[in-house]
Amino acid sequence: MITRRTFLSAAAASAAALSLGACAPRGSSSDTVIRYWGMQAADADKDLKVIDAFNATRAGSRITIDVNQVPSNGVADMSQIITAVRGGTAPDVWQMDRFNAVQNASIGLLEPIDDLIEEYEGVSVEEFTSQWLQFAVDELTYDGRLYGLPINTDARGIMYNEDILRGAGIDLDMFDPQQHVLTWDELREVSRKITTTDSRGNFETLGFVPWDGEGWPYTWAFGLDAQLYSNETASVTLDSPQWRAVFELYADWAEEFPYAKADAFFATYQPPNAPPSQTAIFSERLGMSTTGPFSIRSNEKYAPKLPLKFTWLPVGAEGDETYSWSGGASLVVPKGARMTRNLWEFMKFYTGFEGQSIVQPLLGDLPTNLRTIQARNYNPKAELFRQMLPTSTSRPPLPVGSVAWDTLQRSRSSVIIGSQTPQEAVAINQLSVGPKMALFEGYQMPATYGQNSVIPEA
Amino acid sequence: MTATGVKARVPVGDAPPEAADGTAEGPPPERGRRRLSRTDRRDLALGLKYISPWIVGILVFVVYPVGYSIYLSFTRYSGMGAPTWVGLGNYVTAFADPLVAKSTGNTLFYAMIAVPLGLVVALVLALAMNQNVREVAWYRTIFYAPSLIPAFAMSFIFIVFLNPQFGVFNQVLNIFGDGANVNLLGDPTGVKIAIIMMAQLGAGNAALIFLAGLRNVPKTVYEAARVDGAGPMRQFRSITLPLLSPVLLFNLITGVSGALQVFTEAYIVTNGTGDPDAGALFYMMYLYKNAFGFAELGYASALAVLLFLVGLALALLIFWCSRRFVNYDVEAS
Amino acid sequence: MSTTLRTESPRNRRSAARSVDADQLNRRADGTRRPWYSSVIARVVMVVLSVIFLLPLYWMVISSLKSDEELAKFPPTFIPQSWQFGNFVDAVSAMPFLQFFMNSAIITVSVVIFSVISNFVVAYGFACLKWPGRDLVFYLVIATLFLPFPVTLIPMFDMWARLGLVNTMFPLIIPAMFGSAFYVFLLRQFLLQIPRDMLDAARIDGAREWTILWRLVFPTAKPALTTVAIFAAVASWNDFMGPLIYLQDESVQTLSIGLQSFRSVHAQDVSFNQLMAASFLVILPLLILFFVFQRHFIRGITIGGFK
Repeated sequence: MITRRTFLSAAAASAAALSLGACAPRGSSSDTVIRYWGMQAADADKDLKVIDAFNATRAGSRITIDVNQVPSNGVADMSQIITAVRGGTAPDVWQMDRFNAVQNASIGLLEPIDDLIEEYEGVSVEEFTSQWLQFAVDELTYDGRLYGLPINTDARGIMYNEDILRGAGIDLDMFDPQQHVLTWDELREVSRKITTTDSRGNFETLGFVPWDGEGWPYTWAFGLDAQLYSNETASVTLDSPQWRAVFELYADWAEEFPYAKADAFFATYQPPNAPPSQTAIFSERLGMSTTGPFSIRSNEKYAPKLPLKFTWLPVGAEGDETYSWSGGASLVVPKGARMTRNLWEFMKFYTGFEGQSIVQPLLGDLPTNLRTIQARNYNPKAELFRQMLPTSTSRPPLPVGSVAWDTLQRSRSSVIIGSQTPQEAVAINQLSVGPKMALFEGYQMPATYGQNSVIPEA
Repeated sequence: MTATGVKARVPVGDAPPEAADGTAEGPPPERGRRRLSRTDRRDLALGLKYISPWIVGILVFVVYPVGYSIYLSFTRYSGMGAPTWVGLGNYVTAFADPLVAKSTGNTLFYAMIAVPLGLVVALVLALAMNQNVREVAWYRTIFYAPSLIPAFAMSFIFIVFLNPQFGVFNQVLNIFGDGANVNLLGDPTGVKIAIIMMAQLGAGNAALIFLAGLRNVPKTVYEAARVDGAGPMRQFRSITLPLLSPVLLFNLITGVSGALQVFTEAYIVTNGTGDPDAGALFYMMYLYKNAFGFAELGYASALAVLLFLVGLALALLIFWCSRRFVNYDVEAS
Repeated sequence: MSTTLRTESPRNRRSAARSVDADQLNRRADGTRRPWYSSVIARVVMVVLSVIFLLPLYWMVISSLKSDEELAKFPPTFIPQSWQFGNFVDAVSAMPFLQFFMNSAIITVSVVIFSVISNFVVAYGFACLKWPGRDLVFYLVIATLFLPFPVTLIPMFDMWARLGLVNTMFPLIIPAMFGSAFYVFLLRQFLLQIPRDMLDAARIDGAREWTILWRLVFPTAKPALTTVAIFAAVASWNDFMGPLIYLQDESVQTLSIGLQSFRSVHAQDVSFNQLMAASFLVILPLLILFFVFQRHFIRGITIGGFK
């Protein structure tokens, strides 16, 4: 009894002592120390490679990058950064999903970086940002000001298993991205041929469904010319006929490949939260899936022997222009950070040619820096996705991005289950997003948004 | 004293009758503003001295945040900059918001099943943890283990149970059905049931409280009952349950509080979406999304105030009803 | 109930209770043996329950021992074909494990000690003392159980930030010193069951409340206090939201943050076996502690035990 009491009081004393020790003030008063919230922990080594290279440059030699890998709490969760910025404990530079940039800028969470460019580069913002893909810059632009510099990007395409297609007697030339772009009708026909059902009515193999993987409403919206926002009328256009077509497409496929059966199929072969190795593609049950270059790494890791290839997203009619959409990360400056030359040098290096040339081949997706693309400093297996970039774009840079994404995803779920018709779905979407966007009266997306990008050839 | 006396719950000794009921004691102080007697004042000072840590705590950690939230609930606020006063706007929006209605319905569905079921499962576990067998330490640890496992790991294993082809659940279902594979998580009602079942694996927490309660029942009471010839069922009904009533009240109220705020399991099982068809979008998830996903802190605060009021009303109702069944007097035997 | 049934003093009550538990095996209170099958049935039921409740842990362990290829197998294997203990090494080396462990331990030990003491004292004030207005104030305690956490997140953070204590462990430890509604309520329910006359007798004998609190009530409330200690330890050890927003520097981060880092990498490429290995290592200390401390669920109140 006595020993336990002694132990407990000793433990309490040491606890108090240690927590006091942890209370040392932040050593960030010097502007040669830059506090950086980096990529996630598992990619910390890639972050460090860039930082080492930066420290080896003349500009970076006297700068210490104090890097912390602060995990996120999930998709579009701003609790950490909001609290940190309010409390004055935010980092000087933060690696953030570009999708959140406009919303975060609109609520005052980020510092615009136009002044840094004008002060240290002596050129216009427009001229300076021409080093990067236009849509990636647009995604970081709010109300005419720039809020960060882009790092990586990706694109969406169809991944298919050659063995399964060949087994169903399908002409593989149709899937060769250099020869052909699939139409929706062709894709449906192929999916029909691949799909097999067992005696109890369950799918044994499935060809394709448009709500699997990266088959988000936005993915098909870009191919059907459905726009979320119109600069001309400065209003949300989620109830347009084009958006109805997006949800009709889901409803149409869900009629032929019923939701309940397809859902049971996916829950069997790629249950939610299962290991990334456990997918319907890897277990050779699913013929085709919508995905991006980020699949290349896991394909090589978990299914190196499967003949998995990529092709374009399906188009409406033969000869239609291809389309895709691209996301990615960026470096941004949280509100209240010290806007120093050293901070600027680090951002410029990380997102510029040198930084991207180091980190992109390791990450396996695509650079946004045009010179890096030109020098082909990326995973050669992602080449098809590189070819998608000219006709790709970002999701619309709007301050209501998260609400819109959430609403569209929920409507997709309702439509494929059949609890809403496409007409009802688009009406609800408009009602959910419209009033929130109306608070930003006369809002204009960058004029260049949605235009094709010019990508230099190697 | 006989075992049958347990049922009568007659306090013995010189304990005043109201001591047996912690909720119905003493006249409320605000009534009539009557002057407190000197003893009263001394008692009050002593009582306040003992609860002073909590008073400091509530002033610092509760009153300030709550006041702040109530204020925010009348504003439009992103978390940054200055709030904009909108009056009752957020409340008007909330009552018209179809997702508030939907998430409230989901949450009530969850609470109506999960709370009673949780009490039963926890009680069964507690009785098992209370067995007089040599290896009881192992049983206790095993039953409690799932409560230690991080929710994401739990959801993974649970989803294996629910696998439409190989899972235990569907094997049972197939005995009755037409053999078609069913994904419980793919159905708006099924997903709620799945989350309720998953929550039962974490019943170890409530079970531990019941266990502590069971250990509070003096052995002598059972011994006396047995001498009187009461069988096991009779003992359970007349001794165990009445003497467990204080912890039952505790588990009931914290169960309701937990059910109204159900968040983590649903967030993880549905990857934060609440789908299919918003069937697993619970009130707290929607509130959290508004606060930190959509930067609508004012609206989230209004939702929080509504939840708080409903929860409080329910708790007081349960307390009021509890006067009839809660018995604090162990010695009444 | 007379005092003749058991007359141990509180001091040796624990050992007495334990010996009662041990020799009660297969034996009724009145000394007759139970029929042999009653313990068999009880054991069968408990083994079945055990299998159900062990499955999550079992799954966690075998997943942590599988290779990447085996994890992809369908249907999943129930016994790993090759045992990859290397996953544990990889998991530990993927984060500053020892430092995170120490940080978690410091926070948890402090929280447990402070929680037990503060909640016990406050609950005593609500259960064993009589004062005007007590039960109305108690309703306030209950009310705070219904406060949704997202709304308190920001004002609390603002406060700690103003105190300059973000990136220290204080925001996670200090609140434990002031009691929490959950534990106060829990302990109150138990303390109300302590016979009134026992406390009054001590008061008449001239014992001060503080003495009664620690000498008389504390030993009696042991099962309930053990419950509080276990809950506080588990909640603090597994707490994710608190460390996530208050601990941004790796030097003060905890194991639960380390775990999250594993998960929130490119969703496509989580090393699931390592994640499970890390998760198991994180909960292992809790499992061991629980196994050791569960024996404190001894008989609390022994009628006639107090003279």
